[in-house]
Amino acid sequence: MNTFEYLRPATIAEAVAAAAEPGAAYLAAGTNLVDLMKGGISHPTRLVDINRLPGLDRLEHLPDGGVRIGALVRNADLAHDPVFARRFPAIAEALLSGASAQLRNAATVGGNLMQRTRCAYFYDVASACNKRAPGAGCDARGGENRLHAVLGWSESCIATHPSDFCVPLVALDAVVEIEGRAGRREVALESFHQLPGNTPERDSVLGPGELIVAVRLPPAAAKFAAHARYLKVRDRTSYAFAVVSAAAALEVDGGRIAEARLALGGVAARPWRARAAEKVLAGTRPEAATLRRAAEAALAQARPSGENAFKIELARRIVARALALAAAGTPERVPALPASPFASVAGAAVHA
Amino acid sequence: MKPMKFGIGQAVKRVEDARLITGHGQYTADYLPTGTLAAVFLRSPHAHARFTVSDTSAAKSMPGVRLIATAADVAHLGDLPCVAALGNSDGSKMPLPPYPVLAKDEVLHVGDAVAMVVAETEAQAREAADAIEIDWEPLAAVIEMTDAIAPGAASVWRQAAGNIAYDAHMGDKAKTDAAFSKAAQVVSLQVVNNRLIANYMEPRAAIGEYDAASGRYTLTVASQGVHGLRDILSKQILKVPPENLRVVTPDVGGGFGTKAFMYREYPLVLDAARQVGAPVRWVSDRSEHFIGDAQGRDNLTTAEMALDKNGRFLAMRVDILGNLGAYLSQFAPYIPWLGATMATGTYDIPVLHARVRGIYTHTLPVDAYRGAGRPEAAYVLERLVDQCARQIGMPREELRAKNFVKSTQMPYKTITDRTYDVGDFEGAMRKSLANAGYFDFDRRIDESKRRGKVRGIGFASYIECTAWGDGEEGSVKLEPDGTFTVLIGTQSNGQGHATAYAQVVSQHLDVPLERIRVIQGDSDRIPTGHGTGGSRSIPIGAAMLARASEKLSVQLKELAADKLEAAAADLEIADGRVRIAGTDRSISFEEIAKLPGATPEKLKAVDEFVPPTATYPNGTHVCELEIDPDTGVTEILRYGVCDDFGFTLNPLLLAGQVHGGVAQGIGQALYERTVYSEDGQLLTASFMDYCMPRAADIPEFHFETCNVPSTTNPLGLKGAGEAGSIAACPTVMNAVVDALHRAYGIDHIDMPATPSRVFAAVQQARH
Amino acid sequence: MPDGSRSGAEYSLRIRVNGTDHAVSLDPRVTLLDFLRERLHLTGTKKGCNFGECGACTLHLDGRRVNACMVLAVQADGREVTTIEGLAEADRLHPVQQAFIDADGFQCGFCTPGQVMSAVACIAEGHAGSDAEIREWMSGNLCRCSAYPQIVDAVRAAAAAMAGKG
Repeated sequence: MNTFEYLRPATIAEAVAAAAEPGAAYLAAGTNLVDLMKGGISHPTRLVDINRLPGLDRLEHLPDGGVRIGALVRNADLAHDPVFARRFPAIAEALLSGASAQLRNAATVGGNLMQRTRCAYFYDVASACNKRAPGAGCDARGGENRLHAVLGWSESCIATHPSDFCVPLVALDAVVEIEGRAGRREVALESFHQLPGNTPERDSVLGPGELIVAVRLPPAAAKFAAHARYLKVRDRTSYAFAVVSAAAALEVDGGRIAEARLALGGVAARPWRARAAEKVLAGTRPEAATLRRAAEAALAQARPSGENAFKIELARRIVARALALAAAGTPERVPALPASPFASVAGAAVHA
Repeated sequence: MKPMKFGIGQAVKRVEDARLITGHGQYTADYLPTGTLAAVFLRSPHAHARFTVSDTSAAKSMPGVRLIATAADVAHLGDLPCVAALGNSDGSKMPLPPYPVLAKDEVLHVGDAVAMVVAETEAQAREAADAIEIDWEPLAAVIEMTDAIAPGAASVWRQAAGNIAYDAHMGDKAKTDAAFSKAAQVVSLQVVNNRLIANYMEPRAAIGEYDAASGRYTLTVASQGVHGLRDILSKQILKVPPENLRVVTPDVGGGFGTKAFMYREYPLVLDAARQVGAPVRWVSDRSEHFIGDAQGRDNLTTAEMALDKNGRFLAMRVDILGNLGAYLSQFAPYIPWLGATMATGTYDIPVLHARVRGIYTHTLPVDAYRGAGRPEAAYVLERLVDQCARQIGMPREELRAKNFVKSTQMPYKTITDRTYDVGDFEGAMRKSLANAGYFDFDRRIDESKRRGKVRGIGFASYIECTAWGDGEEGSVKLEPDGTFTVLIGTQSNGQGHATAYAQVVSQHLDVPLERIRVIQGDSDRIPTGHGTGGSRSIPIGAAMLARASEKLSVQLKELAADKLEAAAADLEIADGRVRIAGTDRSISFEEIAKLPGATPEKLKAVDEFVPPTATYPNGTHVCELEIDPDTGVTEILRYGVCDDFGFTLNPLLLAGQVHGGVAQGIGQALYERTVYSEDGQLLTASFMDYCMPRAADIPEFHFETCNVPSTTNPLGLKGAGEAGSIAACPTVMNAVVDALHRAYGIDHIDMPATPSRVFAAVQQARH
Repeated sequence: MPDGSRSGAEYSLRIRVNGTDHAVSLDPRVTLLDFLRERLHLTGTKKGCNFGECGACTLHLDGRRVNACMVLAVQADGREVTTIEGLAEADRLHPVQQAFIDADGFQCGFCTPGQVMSAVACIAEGHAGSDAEIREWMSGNLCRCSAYPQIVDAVRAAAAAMAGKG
């Protein structure tokens, strides 16, 4: 780890000013950044510790029915907030399916949005990676790319975004509140993460010094509470990144889907909103053939970036199953193995 | 032998636990002598490159830096030895290329050590290492074995044409060919035994100290045995008399075979300590473990079975490619060969030909890892036998029963020249299958089908060899305070040896375990030893201590006889005292120790036990699982074990070993995948990329024993440390293949059967 | 500018560890884990991976389980740490420690301090309601000896014992 200057500003304005300098980075929990610094992947010369900034750790249920989640709210606290979990069960399920209990106690909402890809070539400083070293090339392209992107990738980068949390958020039209030198602005989460194009080094739309202060869910996000699930396939049962995941949220009226929301994880450099599939579902009954058609629509633009064609069909099946589970209704309690494809098995243990 | 409260056979709790559970274990990295400096290693980012160290002056002048060593600075140190050279089938000996303590001019794998930096803090040392200027000239690298032996491949060693380290044969090729030509049926299979990374939770660490006044070195190191390291360091690397070298191993956080070897960091921290005049400590972190420690397995094996029309095995043919990596680690060549010696397993197969080739690649060295060759052999054989059963249409258990070595054939000499002393292979299989509800399995399939799952059941009958070769010497001594001290040169890596040994002593001296101190891991205090490995500690060490304790009990009775004015034959030991049988006249051990005739020789018994041959634990494991064809996810529903360990010294410790071994086997079968990129970068160099099983992945086990006492040692013991890891891979994979075959006609899939691999196989079979 | 340190400089902080306050000056690169092990010589907290992936360094920071290797010591300024050394009261083992011994929940013992600290939190969080739940909520801690079934037994038993007591 290189040496760095450590600052602990008292206000958001001071933080933004301090972080606008070249080489500066924000430090929240550090569960990804410290990792990247130890591995020699990130070399910030200044760390701006935002952990003690006032007000960023608040979870507010807004008068209009929306909710505002401060950037420093810890993943565990958000998932375990009973009101939040009841109103947005798929988000709680996604949070609990990520990382470990220890990391969820530390990791923050803002940090979750800001985590870097888990592409092994990005982490291996001896490999070529355009995201880590622009212009260096992409060793993943012709290499071990079983888990890489099948949507939205470019010749310069085929990495995926690893977040679980962001997948239901993007399905529910979350908005990111950003503070910068020019004041506050808002960006839809769907446009917050950048597809690689020719600039894969840019993960998001944040400019120098810009700080995520909150993530907001609009009032409409709560109307799916009765029919919302997050489903995730991973290489082991717990504490593993998604091979593919899906968040499905339905508004069901009289046995028909009034409105559907769908997003996929592990398939692209951003949490992938599947609007075409949502259109297929609107007004239909959630029958197997319809769900399958929606799944096909969701992956219509997908193409393998290497030895990962299997992920496209896997993603279709996960989408169809997530929709079926959502249609069947949100379970009373989050399963013991949140987001596990096995958690739906009758008789599987559940907890409060 | 009568049962003693803390004696053998009892499920006593471990004497090690109180320290470890409170955080007071003393592992190597917990030792921090005053003034200790930190050593770090500069490692190669390339799999194959020529290099020159162009400038170290900037690094040398950085804050806190005390020493920088490159190959030129350590020319006085000998190479790391390989002690397991094999002969080629043409009668020649395999060449042994050098394995220098620091790479000189050329690096041969990612992580190859190029320089050592010693500084006041680890951060300073790391910064200085980054400042060393090196000119790299990358060269072509070979990573896969099949590429390495292809014509025109880049060469790892000039001495090894075609990258073949050795080409050894076993058995009779002509007879085997003849048997195959007459066979009614031939079944063949090619399987990959995936490369594994040991990943003990305690990364390796070493602290070197040097006392200039006496000229003595002390190495504190996380190892599997101090004496072997001392001898190699003394004779071959440091070239100092053994009495000038002390090697100490405190608590060890798991070794699994891979902490047994001489690694380059050990002589280097000692040499550095001498040069800088302060203790020098190196502690590996997880990343360095992935690119700095020997790895395991990595075989590609083709096997064929010749059968007669009734399903009797006539002959077997095996062709093993064993990846040895870039350098020959200490025992590396022997591991695939050891596997070949167990090729016929529990079956009476009269004719065999095995070809074993060790292959060089530009990857980390490969050496022993839990099971070392035997898991590879059992995996090939048990997958092949299942394939035979499917192909000829005979139930798996019937085909096995027909071909097992029968207990009436014992002692049975295999075609590979091993002698199984005892064993009831069919009995173990029948019991294990009955426990598993094997014959009711069909009823459970439909229930899975209703939930959209496919279900499979598989089993494997295995046999392995343990505790062969070197003997073990040790002693039991009565101290003046009435406690006992055991000195033994085996080395606990966490298995609970101190408890097991104390039980053996308690069996003969009837004292509570807390009055018995077991000393391991100090070459100054313990004269000889052969460490832990090959599941040897209990079958050899406990057998030796049983004899030594018995001997000491006789000596103590003789001392007591004088004092109690009775014949030694009339005395018995009970409740920590020597007593005239049937009376209340007795003397305590403490009093015996103070008797005038109690000379040091009479208060101590030394013995040695050299095993006449290996012991052969065996058994059958059964696994039932369910696969979700929509996701490829496999869930183990039940895992049952019926094993023959000869005699159970402590059921708790035994269950721990078996569970642990099985879990590592489940890891290999379903999760663990070591991936090198085409140019030799290790892409799975963290716990997020190298998928270790966690609590949520490991089922409850059903474990029971079906012991048949071994005839090779006084307690009837067979080694238990590796058995689980040997049986589990074929058991789990036979169940995976069973499920996939029933549902989709798939009859082969390689380990690890990850969700994506299973999903892809199912997709392919459906189209 | 508020609190801070220049590049390469040391930073002053106070941390309360197992009930004792420590005022120290540190390079901000030092993790909480290295601070405890190298500066305070509290070596019960183990470094198994240094990347937050194995759980061997699990301790309680302000009462919550976290990976000490992922926390810079400066981040713990003014906060309270409990390590394995601070769990037992005098000579009396914590019920979770006792349960690990009773269930044979460890072999080499290297991951054990982290497992125990994680288990104490797992029970306190209310995540020990079933075996499946214990498995999931203990999955942040690797054990290569793979005493997992016994660890699940230990957590279940400790949860029951602690519920019975209070």
